[in-house]
Amino acid sequence: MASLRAAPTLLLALAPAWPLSAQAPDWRAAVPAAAVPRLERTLAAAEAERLPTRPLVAKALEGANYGAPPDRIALAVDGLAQRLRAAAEALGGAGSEAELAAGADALAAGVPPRVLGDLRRARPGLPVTVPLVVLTDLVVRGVPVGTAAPAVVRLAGRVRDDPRLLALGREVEGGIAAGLPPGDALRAELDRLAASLPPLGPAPFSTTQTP
Amino acid sequence: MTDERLPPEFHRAVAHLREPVEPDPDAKARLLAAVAADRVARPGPVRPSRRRLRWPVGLGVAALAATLVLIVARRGPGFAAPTDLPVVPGRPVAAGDPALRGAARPRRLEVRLPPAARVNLVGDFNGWDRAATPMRFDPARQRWVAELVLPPGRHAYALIVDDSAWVTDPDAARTAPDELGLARSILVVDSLRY
Repeated sequence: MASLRAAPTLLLALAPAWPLSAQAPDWRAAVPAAAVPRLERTLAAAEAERLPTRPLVAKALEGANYGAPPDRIALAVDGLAQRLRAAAEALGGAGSEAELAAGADALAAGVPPRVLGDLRRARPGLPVTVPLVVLTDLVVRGVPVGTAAPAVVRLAGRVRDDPRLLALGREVEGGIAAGLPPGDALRAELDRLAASLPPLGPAPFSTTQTP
Repeated sequence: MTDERLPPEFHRAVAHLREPVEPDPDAKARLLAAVAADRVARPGPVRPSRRRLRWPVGLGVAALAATLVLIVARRGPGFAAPTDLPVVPGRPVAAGDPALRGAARPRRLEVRLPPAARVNLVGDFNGWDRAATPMRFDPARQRWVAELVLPPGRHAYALIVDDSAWVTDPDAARTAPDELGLARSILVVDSLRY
């Protein structure tokens, strides 16, 4: 009973502090009002499908702070929702928010959905966020997806520590900056890596049939 | 108030009860003795009862709790004062770097950019608010620098140069332009878990 009587006191004392602890501003106040109804529908649909909504809210805020018109913001959020959905499906119906967001980026860059599944199978028990980030980066920098995808899938299966994977992206970036065509820069780095990796066994699945 | 219909015994009983009662001459002495005995049994200064203390104590505890909540809230995700921070090159961060593992804590982002008067950092960690994270130029390292608190995971960000151009970090992994026409840089913290 005593604690019950003290509860109102505690609530009264905490009341001024609570808004400071919940500092995340409402995204609705930060985006153009005309975009809010469509965004709310997109978020509700994503939530119903158990897709992460934070990347969608972040995309809306990005567009709003960039000064994009409402219909463009809604279009961008819808597009991301579709890619998150496709990434979740390609990754086998399960994935962390980071994996799904990285998968959505990979799909936007032109990586075929089945490559996401190949990466998942190549790294059992490990997240595929970094391989997806590296693959997306390579493709965006001009490495043909047919060259980059099988290389990253194969490396993701052989190299378990992410610094090695991240080194691939950096070294290829360096080769491109030195004037090599992107595909050649990747091949050169793969040749260099091959000397330091353990012998490659037979691939447990086909990963080389990229377009 | 009388009622002639009541029996005479009733009127005699009422008259008896109305007679003044003489107090017990020893009652006051017995009461004083009882009070004195009670004080001997509980020596020390007289204190207010617990009931009288309950509200002030509750209020004090609540105020202390509110202060703690306030402190924790202000130390939450946001931007920290510069300290001895790990340097995070502008590229995905490897899990092997022990400085970058674990929970959210202050980190230092360094960016190499062409000369500019002003650079602001925007990303999903600050709601893409262009005013939230101005970067400062470190002349010794020739880098634009920001100290920030990043939880583990994947973070997208961009740089606003001179209040107008949205650019990616040249040393970071990047995404393709999306429907907004914007590409973003990507940072992965504690990548073996995320």
